[in-house]
Amino acid sequence: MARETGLQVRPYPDLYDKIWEILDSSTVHSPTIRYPKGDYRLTSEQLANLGSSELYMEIELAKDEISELISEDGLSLDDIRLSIYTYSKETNLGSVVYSERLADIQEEQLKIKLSAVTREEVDPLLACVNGFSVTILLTLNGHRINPLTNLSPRAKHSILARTSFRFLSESDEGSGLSFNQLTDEIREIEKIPKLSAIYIKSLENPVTSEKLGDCLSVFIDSNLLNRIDMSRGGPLGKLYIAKIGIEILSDVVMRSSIELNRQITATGNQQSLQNLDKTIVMTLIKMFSKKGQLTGQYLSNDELLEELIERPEKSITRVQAIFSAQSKFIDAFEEGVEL
Amino acid sequence: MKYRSISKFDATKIRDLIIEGELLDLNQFGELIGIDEEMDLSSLIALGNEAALQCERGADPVRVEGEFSIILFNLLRNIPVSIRDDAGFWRWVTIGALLPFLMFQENPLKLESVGAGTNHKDVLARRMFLRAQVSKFIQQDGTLQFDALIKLGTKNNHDFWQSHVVRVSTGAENELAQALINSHAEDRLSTEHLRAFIRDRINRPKGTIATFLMSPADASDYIQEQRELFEYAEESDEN
Repeated sequence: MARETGLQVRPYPDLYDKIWEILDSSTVHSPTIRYPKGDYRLTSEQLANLGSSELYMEIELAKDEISELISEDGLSLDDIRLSIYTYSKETNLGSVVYSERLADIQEEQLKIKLSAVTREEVDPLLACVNGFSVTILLTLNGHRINPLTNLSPRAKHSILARTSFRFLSESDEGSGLSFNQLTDEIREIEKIPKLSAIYIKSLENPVTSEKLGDCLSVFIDSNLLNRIDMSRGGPLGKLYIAKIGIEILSDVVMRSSIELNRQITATGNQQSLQNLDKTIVMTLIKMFSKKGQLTGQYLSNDELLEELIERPEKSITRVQAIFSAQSKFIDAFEEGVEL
Repeated sequence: MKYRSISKFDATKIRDLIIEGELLDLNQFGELIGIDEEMDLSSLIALGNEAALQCERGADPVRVEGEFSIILFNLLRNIPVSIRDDAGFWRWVTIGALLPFLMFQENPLKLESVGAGTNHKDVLARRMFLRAQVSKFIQQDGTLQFDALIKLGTKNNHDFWQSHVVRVSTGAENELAQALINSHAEDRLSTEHLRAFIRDRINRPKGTIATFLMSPADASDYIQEQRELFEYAEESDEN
């Protein structure tokens, strides 16, 4: 589908579902993939146009619909929190002006005053000549509900679609200053492959080498790079996926090895099966690390980005080489070859 | 309240005059903004002179800056946010009150500290205020503590403060910033490792984790966990 960003990414539901099944668990952990935040900056001009010394944010929340949707993921309105954070860049004043669990919010339409700056200071931010930004977000266990959150795409999409808001002054009965959150968020959803969700999933519990191997196999078998529609996407989009894929896998590996190492330290059993897992995982780490001894092809994030900008076509070749090396590793892994 | 707002252009001219040793009348620069009486700088001038005196007696300027940041913060914390939002105000305070102290730190004066550079938050008075602001902890009786600032105040941590706290969004998240400052004070990372740690383990996850919702305890646990992950990854890389 056409998008303004130029990134063309096709969904791969079969791939994601397959990996999702392997990495089965329920809580969310911290991802490290960067994605633009959904912040909204109000300029002094916009504030002046609102014509009031006080600013309110009006939020419409279709709680019943959201509740029904997230129940499919085993969640309830208790699990999701609506928060609003204001931030003035020049004065470094940030404040959580509102934070409630959806279950505790009685109204379908909220009107929240935004003028308080910090917990102990009541000076209105509206006076800031440099404007300020407002972040409205729904969180699940402290994580923003966004393309990376562990919710089904349908639920995420629907929640965002059913949460709209506008800024308005106290007496404003008109349109105020409206923002369509869905428009902004949907761009991000489309930009980042669903594979990111798998990454989140994989962080929930330590991944065993067996599961890891399975995931890598599926990843390689999917021939992800080649499945990207060359006619519709540019090299930027392709490398973006590759980059995310590498980040996902390397982080999974690292976190798994950390957990395994903890277990070994705790049990003191260096000969345990866990130790075997550690060896395997450590090998994987080397493969993905900057000094990648197996592939010699690894690109750090910065290098990859540089390549991406300077030599996109060459970068694709290099990334494909990495995937090829991974494939060989998986073969060796499955055959039980000592690495 | 009226104050004088000094532009970057004027700050550049003022800096040149100071370096050339020419007499300076600050009233010839900038513009008065606001209504009623002009803000009295005398307390801040006394602060600048005392800080300079301590340096003259052999005190470490870095430690002095940390200690006097708290006093400066308490003197200016109640002025309207709209004034604190103006970089011109901070140039005025720095040049009009803190110059003797600044001259001990930089001679000849650099561009940034005096407000003639590109980083508005590096202006001496502003950075002192913002460092205290992000370090403040309100006790149960309502009084303020600045433990994080004091912990780092005795070491040369200018880059840490400016690049990783004051100039970025972390500077508005007191809980996260204080946990980060305490962690760095207790176990200091080299410049190279610090940059990698902040980039990969603090700034990047911010896209997904709402760090500003963290309690002090949550923030502390979070920073500790991130440090462990970072250090483990570094060790693995070396091996």
